[in-house]
Amino acid sequence: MIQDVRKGTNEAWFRDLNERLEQRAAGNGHTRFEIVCECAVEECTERIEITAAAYEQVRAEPKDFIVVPGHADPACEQIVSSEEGYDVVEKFGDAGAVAEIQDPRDGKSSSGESSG
Amino acid sequence: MTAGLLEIGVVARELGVAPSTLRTWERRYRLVVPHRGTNGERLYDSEQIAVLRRVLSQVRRGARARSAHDAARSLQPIRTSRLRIQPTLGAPSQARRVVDGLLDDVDDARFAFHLRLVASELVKNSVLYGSDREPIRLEIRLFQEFAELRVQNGGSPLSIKSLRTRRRDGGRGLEIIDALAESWSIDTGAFGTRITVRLPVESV
Repeated sequence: MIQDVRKGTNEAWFRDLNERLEQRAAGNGHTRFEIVCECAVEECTERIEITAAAYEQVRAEPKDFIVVPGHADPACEQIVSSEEGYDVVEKFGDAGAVAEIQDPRDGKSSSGESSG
Repeated sequence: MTAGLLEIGVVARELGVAPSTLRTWERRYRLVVPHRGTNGERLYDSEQIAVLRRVLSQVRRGARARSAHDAARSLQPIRTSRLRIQPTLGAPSQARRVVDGLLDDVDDARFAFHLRLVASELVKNSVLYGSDREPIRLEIRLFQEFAELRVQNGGSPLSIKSLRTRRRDGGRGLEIIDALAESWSIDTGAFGTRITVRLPVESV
């Protein structure tokens, strides 16, 4: 359980970093940019190229994360879709709870507007 | 003279004080304690000279030497770690361990996460693009409100442009630095390449 929380926390911090990378890309007018793999392994900093639209789609779900194919951890997440160059995983259990609590969007889109 | 270090006479002349003043301050306040050369001579690095300049600036405005030293001391890092790392695939992990050792009792897990990430990415760049013979120099200084990392590698000097354009075949990390750092800079010269990054403690 503690391990799942730690994994969830690591992934949430990578997600925060990717949010910053997305903001910078958007500020530069890029519709395609690189993010860091959001898997649970802290030492993993593999890059994933993704479109802004696809990134936004994943971020709309607080428990969903973007990982390099093969990096999903079946103990706390399941693959919900496989795209070119990355998998989208949904976290469950304690890791899922951490992901929701630490969701930087918290019901908002990247522009800061309410999604509802 | 040792490379990069200046003898007391040169430093005193540069600062406009007598060498005996520097020796007295060293003995009384223990703020700037110079390195020693092979013959026991005092040798000052650029950082020490910068501290002396701060002290002198206060003294010349009328402050007493003791309070000028106290003020300069408050701008000193809480802790410093320096390490020479061989440019191997294990170097980024070593950099992470340096951060863990430095932040042993710092209760800010997210800051530690960011610092480990930045240190390992910079060292990874040095492994990929720096000299494969000369060690990578890593220095992390922890201040009250920020940490300053310096990573220096030998080999041909790298430019920001080359680091960015070579990113796709492995050399990277600058986007991460851009996203997390308060500021950063790159220096190049005969020594190779040195990247300095300032990371705020409140980095979120």
